[in-house]
Amino acid sequence: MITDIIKKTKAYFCLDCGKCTAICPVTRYNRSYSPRKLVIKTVNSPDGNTLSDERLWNCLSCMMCQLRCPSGIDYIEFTKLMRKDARESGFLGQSTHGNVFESLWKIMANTKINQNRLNWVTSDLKVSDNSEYLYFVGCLPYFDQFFSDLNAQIIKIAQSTVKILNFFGVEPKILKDECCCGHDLLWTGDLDGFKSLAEKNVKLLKDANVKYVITTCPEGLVTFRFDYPKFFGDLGIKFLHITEFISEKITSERIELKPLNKKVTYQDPCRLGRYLGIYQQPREVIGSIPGIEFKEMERSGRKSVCCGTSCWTNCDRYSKLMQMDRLKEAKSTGAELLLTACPKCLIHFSCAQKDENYPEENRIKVADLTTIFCEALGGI
Amino acid sequence: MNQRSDFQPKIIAFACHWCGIGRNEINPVEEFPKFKLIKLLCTGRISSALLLKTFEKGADGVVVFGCPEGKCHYNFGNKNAIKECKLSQSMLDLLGMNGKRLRSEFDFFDQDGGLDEIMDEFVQNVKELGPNPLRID
Repeated sequence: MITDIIKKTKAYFCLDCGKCTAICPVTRYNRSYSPRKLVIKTVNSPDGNTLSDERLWNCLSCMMCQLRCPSGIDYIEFTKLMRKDARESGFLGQSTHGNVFESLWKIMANTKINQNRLNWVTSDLKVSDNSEYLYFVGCLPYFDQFFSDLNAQIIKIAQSTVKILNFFGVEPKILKDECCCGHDLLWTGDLDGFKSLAEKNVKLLKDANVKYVITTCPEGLVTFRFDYPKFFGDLGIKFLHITEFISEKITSERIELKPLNKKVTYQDPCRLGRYLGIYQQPREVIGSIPGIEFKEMERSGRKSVCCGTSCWTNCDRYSKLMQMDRLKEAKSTGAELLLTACPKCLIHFSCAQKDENYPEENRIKVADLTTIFCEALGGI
Repeated sequence: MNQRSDFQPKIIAFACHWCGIGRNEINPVEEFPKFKLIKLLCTGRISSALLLKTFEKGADGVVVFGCPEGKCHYNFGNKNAIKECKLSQSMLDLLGMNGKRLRSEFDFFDQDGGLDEIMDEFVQNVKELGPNPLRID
């Protein structure tokens, strides 16, 4: 019920001030989209008109508006719940890549599927079945195959992570049958799909008998920390992002790193930054590498801009413009390498640079933080 | 995979209008009892999303028929199909469903035995792999 959504997200508190629209990175490019208008429209006529509004699917759920809202309206929760109702009424956003990921998740969620996803574990990577650390790889092997033409070497993130963990004396456990955390299905309103994936993961995590779960995907981390407890209660496991793990280790241990003479900048992923408040740790990790010259982008930290699309939905020309501008901003810092801590940021920024009309002067290499840190440790 | 002796695989075929199989004059139900035919104007329409969706909905095997390389009516449609089929096969392998459930045939008219032999072999392969875990009977 839409009235319930309005109550739950406190949408009736909306002052019509427009701060959300002023800060929204989507509105900056797509003038027809306005979070304020969507909220006001829903509050004024809660009869379901908004559900068919395709602009509901333009939200990046980047949380920028929510931090500015003087009334404390939970806009991202509003989007999430409205999308669920919209999907139930038969309205959907434009899925990218022909909706291939939804098919993938639906297949993965099936309990009879035995995945064959560990081909990336080479003999030099040490993994163990008896460990209190588990590395949750997530969708990385699938992204690596699907986006192989981007040359983003996505699976290197997983390999580097195991190398880093090995360096700090941890031989992580890796699951053969883990599946996507369900983040994208949850945020595109498919609650049943999310639950079927999550149930499979929860069972695996409980059976794994571990204390810590390390992820390299901020979306996974948000889902594990905030959404799984809502549906399945506390799992008794501490979920950590790899940057949290590394920053804790480098403050307590003295480590020798190879110097990397590079000028770098860092893109704060929305989920890692605004959702989880992990701003400092990635910067500590970058700062620990000798020789690296770190340049901060103009809009960074809490003000950092999203990488343009989310949940494989509504990737349009506005997303491309957003990505172009963000890459230009990264390049204008004088950096030669744009680091990020989210595989999706890596995919989106690499994809934007594949465009034929992409200006050569703005071209910048994009890499994941783990791969650079692993390089400083001695590399793969 | 659990093998059933009475297992009759559900095979879906995507065929290009120009390659001979997807022609309008053909009645697919009479001519091709071994598979269900989905006609396309060109295999350029094939995408990994379409192929994986077919498996998600329970197909045991999928075969794509298109024109030989360099003979696409629209120049590049079959090149796209070859790429997408390879990608889908690698995804199926990752999912543990075996990429052999998907077969692409782009020069079946030049082969000895032609279509019948190809299909017999494919049906046999799928039978050995067993039913799709997602199959709904």
